[in-house]
Amino acid sequence: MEQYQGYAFAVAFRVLCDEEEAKDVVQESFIRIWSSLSRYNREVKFTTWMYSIVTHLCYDKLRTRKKKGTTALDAVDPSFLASVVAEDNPELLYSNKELAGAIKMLTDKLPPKQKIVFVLRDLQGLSVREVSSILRLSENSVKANLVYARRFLREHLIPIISD
Amino acid sequence: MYLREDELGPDEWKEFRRHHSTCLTCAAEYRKVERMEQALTRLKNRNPHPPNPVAVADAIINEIELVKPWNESASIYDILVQWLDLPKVRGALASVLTFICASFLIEYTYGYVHIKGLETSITTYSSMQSSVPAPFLTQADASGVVSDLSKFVTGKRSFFEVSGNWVMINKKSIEDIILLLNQLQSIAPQLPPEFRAAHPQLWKLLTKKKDAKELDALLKEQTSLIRELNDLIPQERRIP
Repeated sequence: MEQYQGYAFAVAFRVLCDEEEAKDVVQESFIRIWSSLSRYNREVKFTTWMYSIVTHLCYDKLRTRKKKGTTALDAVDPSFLASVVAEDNPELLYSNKELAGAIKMLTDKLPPKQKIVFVLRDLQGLSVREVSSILRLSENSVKANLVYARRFLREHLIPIISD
Repeated sequence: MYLREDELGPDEWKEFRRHHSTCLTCAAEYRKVERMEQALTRLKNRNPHPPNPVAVADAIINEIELVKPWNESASIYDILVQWLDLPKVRGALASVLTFICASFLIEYTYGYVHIKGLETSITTYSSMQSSVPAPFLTQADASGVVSDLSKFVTGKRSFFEVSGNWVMINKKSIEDIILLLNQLQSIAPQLPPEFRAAHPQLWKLLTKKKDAKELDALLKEQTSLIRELNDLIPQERRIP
């Protein structure tokens, strides 16, 4: 359970960029998993099913946040983001708040769907097929969302890491 | 350009590589994309610190215990207590109790029809009076007659007890029912056979034979009753 909890938290954290909200989503996801275990289709990988629940809850949170016009964190210094993505030493540890700030700065302007596709594919390292199965989108739709997200990120990230 | 090798088909990838090797603009653009990819890979390798798994597990178990409809090992009493402890259930019970109390209060305040001569036979749910009923409603089938007659009039509904039977009739039109009964009695011989067939109890009551003495007493009683009733009934609805 600890391992799955870690996966669920990582996705929720990267999508929501807020540690407390991510914890809430993990908690809510596991309650949903428990209450709908009888409906679990064993032909689907458990992690796919779990990611599906987590991402749908994250999607709802992002939409609510968008409606309310609230953001989870204050703006982050671009130089900090540059240092996070330029530093090649994986041993260097950042706090969750710093990481959340960096991801938020990169992805905050993305629409919820693109953001989730990007996080699952580029930050969680799932395959396009897995992302398509989790979000119940066609593979072409996943690719289209990826293209839009990466194009947007390239435009914003390259100036920061070039400075 | 924004899709990786494993995201493109083999032919698409070959086509891209061929174009990339000849187009300087795309090659420059692609270098930027590669730099972005490297940056994203570094970001991907920086995993957030997961929360304390025991604390999360505890929170989940506590939530599940609350959500759980019942505990397999719990007794019926425990289940009932647990069920009653749910805020929604408590809210619903409080609402139902408030509704019942309010209904009794309203019925007691406004629902009691006080008609002289009849208050002994017709009692509201709230007042629960019981004593000797008034003459023409003491028939064994009086409640049926009242129900039957209530179909002729309209208005707000209320509960009344007639000769020990609970009937739901029009409380505002008790007076109308009595007046109607009197009018029907006077025209009983002219009523068509269909009426007799449709309202046998009422017909029996209307045509009940009485000896002269009993009839006199009844008429006398009814005359005074009608006079008293007339005082209670709005001017336009009174019997001339």
